[in-house]
Amino acid sequence: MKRACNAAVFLVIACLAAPAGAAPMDDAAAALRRGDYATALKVIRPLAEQGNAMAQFNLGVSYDQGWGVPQDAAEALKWYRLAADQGYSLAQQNLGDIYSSGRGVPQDFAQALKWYRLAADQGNAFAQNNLGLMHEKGQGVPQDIVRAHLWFNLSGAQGHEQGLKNRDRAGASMTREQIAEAQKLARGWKPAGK
Amino acid sequence: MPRSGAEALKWWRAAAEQGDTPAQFNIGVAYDNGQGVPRSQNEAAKWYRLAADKGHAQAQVNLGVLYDQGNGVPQDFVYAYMWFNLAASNGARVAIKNRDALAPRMTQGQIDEAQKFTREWKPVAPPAAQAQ
Repeated sequence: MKRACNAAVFLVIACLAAPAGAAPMDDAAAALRRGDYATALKVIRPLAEQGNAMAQFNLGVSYDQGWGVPQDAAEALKWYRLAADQGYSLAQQNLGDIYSSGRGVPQDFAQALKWYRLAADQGNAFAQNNLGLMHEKGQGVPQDIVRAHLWFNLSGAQGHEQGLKNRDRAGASMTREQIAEAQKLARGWKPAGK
Repeated sequence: MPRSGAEALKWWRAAAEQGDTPAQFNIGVAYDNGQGVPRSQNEAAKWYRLAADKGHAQAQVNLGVLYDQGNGVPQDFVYAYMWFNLAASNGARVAIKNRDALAPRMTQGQIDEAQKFTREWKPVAPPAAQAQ
């Protein structure tokens, strides 16, 4: 479930359906499955305005994709930010994507790094892989192949294909000592708040 | 023994939850290969671990492979070497081959640490033995 949700950041349905017992969100998820964005947004928007992080994330996706609303990067950013500030890992991941690609905002690796890191610390495999790439390329941080390997390794351990490929690719140019150090870091890693 | 994979899995799961070691190993294999369940090395590692902790040699080999490859667990040559070592001492000959193939990719420090972990390892007693 978690992987499916991570794998399709812009598939609101899977993520909406996730928590049990949230009846209004179930209605919204059902509407989304029918492609009825207007009805879904009627449920999502008030919840988002009341501070529900999942609703804020989904409203952000709606503006990001132009689903049921005109596409609006500034509104997407605003709602992602509200959800991300509450620790919602998918919103943090999408903020990382927005800042690293400069989609609708000036490209900002420091911001991208910050949001990917927060999501990665929670165990988000996509964010872990992207954080690994930033360490590998030295974007927003000093270039560090050991830390790149650490994040690729953690991502790959969750079955993230790209993480596995990147780990092996990075590993091929590393010394045994560097790999040993990276694996030691991975062994000591614990998801935040656990 | 039930014929279909899904049926067998139900039996094994019931037994595994009672602490049956071979059943725990079999569930690990089912997840590892995606037989009757969606393939998940993450789940496979959890079930292998339960059996490996009690000294199941083949579970130790398979868990070692997951650590060697970093499938379902973070890649960790120290843990992989340790599990191959333990399995080898339990008579699994393939573990010796795996361990020898792994060693050249490790630092001496990692091998020393793996040897230390092997010496310190103690099997977890199966629940039946504890109940007596």
